[in-house]
Amino acid sequence: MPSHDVMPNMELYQPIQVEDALEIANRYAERGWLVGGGQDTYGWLKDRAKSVDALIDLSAIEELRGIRETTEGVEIGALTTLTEIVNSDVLQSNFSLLTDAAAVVASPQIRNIGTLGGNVSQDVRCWYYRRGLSCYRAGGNLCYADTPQGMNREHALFEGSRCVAAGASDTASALVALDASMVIRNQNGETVVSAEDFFVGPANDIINTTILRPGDILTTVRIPNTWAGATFYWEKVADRNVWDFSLVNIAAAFKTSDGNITESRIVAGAVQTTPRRLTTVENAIQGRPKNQQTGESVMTLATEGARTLAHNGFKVPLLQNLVKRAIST
Amino acid sequence: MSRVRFRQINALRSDGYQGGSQGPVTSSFISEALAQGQREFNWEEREQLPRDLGGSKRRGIGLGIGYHGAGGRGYDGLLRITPDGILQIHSGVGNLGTYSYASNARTAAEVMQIPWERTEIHRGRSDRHLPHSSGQGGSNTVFTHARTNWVAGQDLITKMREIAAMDLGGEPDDYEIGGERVFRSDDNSVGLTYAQTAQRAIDLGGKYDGSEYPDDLNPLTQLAVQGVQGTGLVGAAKDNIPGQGQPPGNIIGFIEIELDTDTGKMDIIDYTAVADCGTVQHPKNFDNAMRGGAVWGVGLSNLERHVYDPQNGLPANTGLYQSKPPTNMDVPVDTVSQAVNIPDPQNPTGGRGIGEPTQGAMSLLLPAR
Ligand SMILES: Cc1cc2nc3c(=O)[nH]c(=O)nc-3n(C[C@H](O)[C@H](O)[C@H](O)COP(=O)(O)OP(=O)(O)OC[C@H]3O[C@@H](n4cnc5c(N)ncnc54)[C@H](O)[C@@H]3O)c2cc1C
Ligand code: SF4
Repeated sequence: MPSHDVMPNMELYQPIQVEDALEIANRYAERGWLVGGGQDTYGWLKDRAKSVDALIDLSAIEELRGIRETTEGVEIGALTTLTEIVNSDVLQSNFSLLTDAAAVVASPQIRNIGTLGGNVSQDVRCWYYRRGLSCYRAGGNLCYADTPQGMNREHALFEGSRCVAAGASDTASALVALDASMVIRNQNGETVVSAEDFFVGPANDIINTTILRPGDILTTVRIPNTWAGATFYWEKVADRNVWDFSLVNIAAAFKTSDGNITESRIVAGAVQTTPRRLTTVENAIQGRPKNQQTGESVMTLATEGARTLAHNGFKVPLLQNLVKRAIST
Repeated sequence: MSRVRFRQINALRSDGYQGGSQGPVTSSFISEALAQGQREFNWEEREQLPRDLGGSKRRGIGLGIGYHGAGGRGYDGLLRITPDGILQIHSGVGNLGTYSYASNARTAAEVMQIPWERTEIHRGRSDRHLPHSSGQGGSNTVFTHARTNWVAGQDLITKMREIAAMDLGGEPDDYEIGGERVFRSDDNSVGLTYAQTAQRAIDLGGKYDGSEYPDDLNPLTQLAVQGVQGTGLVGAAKDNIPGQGQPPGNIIGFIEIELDTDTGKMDIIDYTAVADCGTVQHPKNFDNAMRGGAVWGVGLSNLERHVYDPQNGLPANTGLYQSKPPTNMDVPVDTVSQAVNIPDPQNPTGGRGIGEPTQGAMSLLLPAR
């Protein structure tokens, strides 16, 4: 695998208006690459595992930054950094699920520069794919990870469809749990989709992890007031306590009445390519006390249908235990 | 039997044998290190603490021993006093980042009783006339090159006393050194400064200025002596200090961890390590080696993995983050590092190395229970 100290030769655009960015993105289409903080981008390009003709650096577009309260909830500009999210008072007091998730992304340095838009749009971290092998996701015709000898400890338990890569974004699970929606613009106008529909698995699209297409820019993430101030649980388990991707994470939001769960959204990360909503568990705990007994009684539902690979079997009890903890705590 | 006692009975002693060939050691005080660590760590008290911490948390207590061969013999030392009175210390020891070439050079300054500021180290390039030295493989140089600097220093002192006797009368044995001078033991007003002996060595030539040197020097050292010939008083000698056996680098470690059985994650609560590495030669470097090695041990035993796809022969760890070295969030904020500090009888300054075994001792967090 070649490793290079310098970036390849590319055009660099640094627009300051969304409209200009949209025009450039449209013009270059798949030969252009949007850049937020570059923390996913630069690895691909420096390793020459992917190449493009132009970088479109969005970081100078003020309109895409910042956290605003609205009557419906909160709007976060896609170029807002993860550190800004962690430090936001309004997010901390109403949507601490997101600030907790953002606070354990990567490392302080990466959070200082990495953006929310980039975090949710980042590609999978399957090491075969990242080293530039021509696997299904890279347009080839085999999967290196899903073989009897594949080194697939970090890979998916669910929804594998030729590709078994696990999603890498920590904030994605939190945003799905908070029922966020994503505002996408292109030269034809604006679309708003739920976070759940924003992420796509390999059965629907084996090359992309989101519905974003060349020419699209994610401009805003909207979090509705529906879950403001709910009881949240976030936990990420990674090998190291910083600078490491989730092996499994859990993002859960509960509404309770007299100690009983009236409504919940429980989402697991890093167990499939997209955040996995655990609706069977949500249904099973409806109306039941939010306690350890309930957690223990439903934890195995979380892994029904899991298909383990050679080295990721540990994710099954791990996911079950995280679900138990989310409900018990 | 307590786990500490079990190890004390079985651990390597000074009259014990080590390695596949079961050779002797220069000295070994692991039992003493265990006793010191046990006290410092409050082992007996902690052994009584409950293991079940409630919920999914379990306490584990562990201890371990790290051993590594820590030094060699038979290398050469090369020192010079130049007419400005500076002690020139030549060292072929490399630098892994531990700067041990400098801490070993201190032996020469000590032998010559000269302030550190009045020395200069020559290292890093063979055109700086470097003697045959051991590789800097972690624990090697403290024992090995304290000895070479010591023998070269003795050679300088012998020659100084000879020059003093020649010029000022009496026998070489009538002279001693101190305060950067060689002087008569019974009248310290009669003497020469180091600078004067250097000038005299140049005038005298022969063995004094490096024109002649011992046959048993390694050919590389012979070249180095030729390179400095005529520049001052030259001390060059092979380490022929009598003795036998491997100098061991020993360390014991005691650890307390908290394991979360739900997630498999563990936190290191406390770590106490005691080295048996003879006399500590450079306290700061010792501390760095102890703590740095412990961090490395956390990685080797718990976090780092060498992943290869056996079907395709591909390494997965192609970047630093994939290799998972420990971060500052994965290791305890503070650890206790101590030394038994009993001198090794075969090193004139008493030290043995401590490098690699620091990692081995930390690996005991795995079998902690
Ligand atoms: C060592 C390391 C450890 C990491 N650990 C974690 C971790 O623990 N958890 C985690 O979640 N992440 C982790 N990451 C990933 C990192 O957090 C993300 O790469 C970062 O947040 C991405 O943000 P960015 O702005 O730098 O993205 P960029 O690299 O700028 O962009 C990423 C992708 O998103 C696209 N994009 C960016 N902005 C937009 C936009 N507004 N509209 C449309 N597309 C856009 C880019 O074209 C690109 O494809 C880690 C990364 C590294 C290098
Ligand atoms: S898991 Fe997906 S990304 Fe990884 S090798 Fe297989 S197809 Fe490629």
